[in-house]
Amino acid sequence: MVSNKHVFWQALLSAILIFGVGIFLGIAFEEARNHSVENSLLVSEINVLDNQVAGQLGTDLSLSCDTIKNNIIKIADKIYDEARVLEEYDYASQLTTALETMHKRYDLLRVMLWTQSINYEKKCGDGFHIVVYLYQYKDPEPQIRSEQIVFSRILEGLKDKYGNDFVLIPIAGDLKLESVELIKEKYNLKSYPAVIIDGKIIDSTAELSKIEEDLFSSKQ
Amino acid sequence: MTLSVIETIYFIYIFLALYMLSLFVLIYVHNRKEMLTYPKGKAEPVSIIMPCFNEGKHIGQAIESLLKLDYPKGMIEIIVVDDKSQDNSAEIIEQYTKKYSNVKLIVNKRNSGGAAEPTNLGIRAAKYDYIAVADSDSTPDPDALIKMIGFLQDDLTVGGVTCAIMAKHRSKFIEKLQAIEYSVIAFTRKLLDKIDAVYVTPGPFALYRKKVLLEIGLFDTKNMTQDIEIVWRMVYHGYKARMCLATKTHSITPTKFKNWWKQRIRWNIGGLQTIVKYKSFFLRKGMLGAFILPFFIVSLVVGIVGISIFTYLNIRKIFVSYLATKLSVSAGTEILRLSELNLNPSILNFFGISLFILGALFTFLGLTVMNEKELRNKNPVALGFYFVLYLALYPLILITSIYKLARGKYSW
Repeated sequence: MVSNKHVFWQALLSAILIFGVGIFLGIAFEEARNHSVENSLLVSEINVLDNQVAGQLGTDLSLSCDTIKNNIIKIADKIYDEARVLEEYDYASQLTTALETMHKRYDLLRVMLWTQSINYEKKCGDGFHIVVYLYQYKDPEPQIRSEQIVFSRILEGLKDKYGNDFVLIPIAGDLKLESVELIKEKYNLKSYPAVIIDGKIIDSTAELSKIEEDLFSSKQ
Repeated sequence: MTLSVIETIYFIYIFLALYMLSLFVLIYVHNRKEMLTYPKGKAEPVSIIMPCFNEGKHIGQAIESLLKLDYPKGMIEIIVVDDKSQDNSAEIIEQYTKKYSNVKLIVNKRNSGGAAEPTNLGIRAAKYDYIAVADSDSTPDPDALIKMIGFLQDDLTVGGVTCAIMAKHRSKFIEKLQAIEYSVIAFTRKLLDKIDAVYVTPGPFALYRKKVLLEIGLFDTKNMTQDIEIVWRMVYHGYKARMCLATKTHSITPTKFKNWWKQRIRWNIGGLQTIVKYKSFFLRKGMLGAFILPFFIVSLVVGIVGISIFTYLNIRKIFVSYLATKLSVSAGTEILRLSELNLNPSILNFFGISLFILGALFTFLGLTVMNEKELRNKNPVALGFYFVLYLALYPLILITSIYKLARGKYSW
């Protein structure tokens, strides 16, 4: 009879090896995914900074409001599309914290974009609606999660319908970014989800479902 | 987002499953040439005890199969113990006692409600030193006894021997599922045999040393699975149980889901009773404490944790979907958007799928070793159902069994 006294530790080594390879491949897979997000992020960062500089130059060079508006909308749309990809990755569990860091960087970009949009409004008046969507990123309770799903559905629907008249800026509210905390303090935001539309706060699905009528009734 | 508590538990679950799978595969790799070998034994007198309750339909066939055993006729005594059947079992058995001098009938004074009491009655009345216990709805292969007895003769520390218990009928879908399951169990049990960790000598057919049975106090009449408990007690007393894969016994399996469920609940309750009884030997007392008990407890914990995580995640998901749908309807927006379909797999998905594939390969290996070509090659639907749904019912059975055991509401 073959002696089997060694199989217990051999099995332990084998399990550690297989598990380790799995974790290694998982991390490698996530790294590759994060790398593609990081590439997009870099491009967006350049675009936002570029737009900021252009905005400052615009004052001196007397750039037209349409040019500034188109730039803002183009960048906002790109960041919005990237936000959707990022959201999908968020729900695929992470072994590393790299994605959360990138999420913070994206949120900072979105805040910058928002300030650029506000500056544009001040300069050029009413051109498009700025919608800032603040949501809970980390482990929302079922009630909050379901409300966030519905908020996303409504806002996505509006974005699809009124692309160029609608800048949608989703920002995670609980990543402890100083700039986001300041926004929350200014608007006295204490719960998620919430939407800031042209400076007005909306925090219920019932209210949000009516904004199409409020904002775009004249265009329909 | 880093790993949550649930995801961490999931990884522990995956690791434990990988360990058990690795253990079984390594045992197989080391012993693959010895899976079907057995120590050559010589025929010695054996008393076969067959407890019977309301088995009028099968008892005749079961006795016939014992009479056809490839074993010297003068060395077999068949004692059928009727547990106060309400059908014609006793009359059928009597006909055999008239025809064959080595077939005897004992009628229990009362219906005990289990197999242990009538089996013990039979053992006490047996005249030979080797005791085989057979179910009244099972038929051992003719070579069963001669291939099994060598294990007892070869090693005096062996107290009992079991063989491969296979599903007798495979025409109905539920029978096919059980045929797959029985084959994998037999294969796995042989692997456990290689590390002295056989934890059950199933009722359909097992061979024991009478001296050992008497020494440890016969079968436990209070345990729902006396065939598990007897082995644990044997191991506790320093004996071993062995598994002979070279021969088979064919057992009738439930053909209705309700009966299948009831049978599994009984098996689980018996297993739990045994764990509770021997809990103090955890990590003590040789293989019983070092492997068998932890193996059972880990299986129990993994099963409960698995079903808990699965239930929690799905209930939460359903609840969120319900709330979101309700809110969407009242807000007059879509109830689902294409962008919500997330097709990005996570590392957890990869681990789960990998483990599923490894488990399926192990099942195929088991079916191959058990020479179940038809089950393996011609039943893709049954195999698929077995992997996806049948095995998923195990934790539910476990939870129900714990509940019934806790409430004391169980019967044979």
